[in-house]
Amino acid sequence: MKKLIPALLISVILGQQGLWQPGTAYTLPEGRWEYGLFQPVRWGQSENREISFYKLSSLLMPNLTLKQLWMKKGAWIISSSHGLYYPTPLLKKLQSPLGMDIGEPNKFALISPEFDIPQMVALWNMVIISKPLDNEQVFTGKAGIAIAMGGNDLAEESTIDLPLVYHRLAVLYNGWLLRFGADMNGRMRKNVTFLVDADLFLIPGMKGNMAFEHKGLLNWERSPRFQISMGYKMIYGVYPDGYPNENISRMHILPLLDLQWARD
Amino acid sequence: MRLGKPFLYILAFFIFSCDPIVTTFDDVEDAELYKAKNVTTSSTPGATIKIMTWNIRYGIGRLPFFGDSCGERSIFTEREVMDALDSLANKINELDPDIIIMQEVDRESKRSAYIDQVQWLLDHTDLNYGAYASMWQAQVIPSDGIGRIDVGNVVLSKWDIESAERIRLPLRGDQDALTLMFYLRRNVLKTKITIPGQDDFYVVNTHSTAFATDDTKQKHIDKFVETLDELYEGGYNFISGGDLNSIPPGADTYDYCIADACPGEEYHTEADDHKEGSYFNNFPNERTLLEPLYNAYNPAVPLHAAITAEHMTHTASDNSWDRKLDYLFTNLNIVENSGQTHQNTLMLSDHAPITARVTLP
Repeated sequence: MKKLIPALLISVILGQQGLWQPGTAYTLPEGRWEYGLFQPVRWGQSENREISFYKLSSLLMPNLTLKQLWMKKGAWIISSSHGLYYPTPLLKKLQSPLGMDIGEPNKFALISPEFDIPQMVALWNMVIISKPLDNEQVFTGKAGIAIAMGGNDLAEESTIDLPLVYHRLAVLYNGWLLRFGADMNGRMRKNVTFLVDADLFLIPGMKGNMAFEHKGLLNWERSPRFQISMGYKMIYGVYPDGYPNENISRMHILPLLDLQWARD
Repeated sequence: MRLGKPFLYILAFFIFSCDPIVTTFDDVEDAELYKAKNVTTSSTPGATIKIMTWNIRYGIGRLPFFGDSCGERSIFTEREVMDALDSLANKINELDPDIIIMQEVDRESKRSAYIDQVQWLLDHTDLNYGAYASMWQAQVIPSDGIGRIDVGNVVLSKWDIESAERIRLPLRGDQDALTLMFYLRRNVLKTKITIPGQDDFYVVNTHSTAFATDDTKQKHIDKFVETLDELYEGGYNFISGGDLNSIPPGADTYDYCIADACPGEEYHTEADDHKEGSYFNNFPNERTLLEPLYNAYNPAVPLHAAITAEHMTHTASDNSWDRKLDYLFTNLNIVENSGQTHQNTLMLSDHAPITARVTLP
């Protein structure tokens, strides 16, 4: 009982309201909006349901994710998220970002215009479990499966072999993939929080069938309505290769910076 | 953070990636050495050895690549590339050269199914050792879906390659900074081959610029000649050559703009004077650019023969060879009349291979 009270207290401070914690099982309080330069727009539709979407991507890749908080059992919070993506317009745009009439034909094209991009949708499903720990920390575990429909006619040679991109778009080529992850959120000072996470993508049956990603972020909460995040993202990925090897591995590190706002 | 972020990550990758997106090179650096999976016994050579040069066009045969043949494709399937490589290997095995100088050899490139063509050719011919110097290496070329690329010059040999140097050539001087950043970085590949009974035997390979409209090609040929002159002055024996992208001195035709024009293209107009890569008179000495080589060294194909139809080595279409761009030179003696241009390879590449026999000292 002595442990349960602080845990519940922390969950009130941190988790129950789910502020600035998109990766946890918590949903945003009803009526709260959070959005960042790069983070998705999130909206607490009800006390147990959150709706989010990527605003820039939405212009070319309409998407919507629903996170439903199903259960609070003791200190455990269990949610699931379900995201629907329609990537066809984005992939077509990447075949000729400037259009054929501006500058060099197909300059900046990341997918060869020779390939037909079929109508496709991808559905990402994830079970998310969070548990508050001592010292104002929250641990989150995740497991999920993504499935795609319509990608049968997508040429396997049309992949974009870049870190973060290849393994997310892989679901369109393979039809399905698995994703596992763990997050640790915590508070270091009154207005400084951190996030350390790890994600594993597994794409059985496809060249370049694995990626491990790790992120470290420090967040400065200037107010409940504004925070700045800085950190890094490390990606170890396996990518397609040819004779004499099937795969080639690469490691990349990217800096992260985001500004986020909220309103209730 | 699921499917929704690729667009932003692509942006971030270009802006922030800690790994270089495009590989740059030092003035001189080691080239990469290769060995066949199964090394065949390389015998002591006789009085002569057979040498070859061949630009193999990324191992895609005559498939319609957008960059050089009015084609509309950038990426080829594994089956297509394997078929083309099989044809190349069959021809190499038929001609049975002891040393090959190759250009446009892909490895781990998206356009050619990521196949390491250096290793593949070593594993499917009687050649045992290889050296590779990249002329275009990038994690991604953000144009026409080319994606990951690594293509370069290669020396393949039946005998061990003791050392290999990649000597940097100047970049094109007629491109904007962004294009230049992602563009080819050409080189001279200088290798030292351990031929039994021969001391200090070098093989030098280059592929000079095809499309520059300024004097970049002059700089490339100058550096190539300089490399050979240094070997000659050092008392070393060498064979050399490659795709010099230059016509022989005395060639009648130097303007192929109309012949190479793709449907819808017009040249010799005010708007567009010449087609890049099809005009060989961009600067004052371009038509006689190879004179120093012919004057100083022995060509596989003598100059009087080099301007004849039977020694043409290139065509932009798949109709007939119409110009000579590929050469072999040495400071040793070429066996008389041994220089051959194998024009029965029209469907294997856009360049024909040349072979010759060189008398060893």
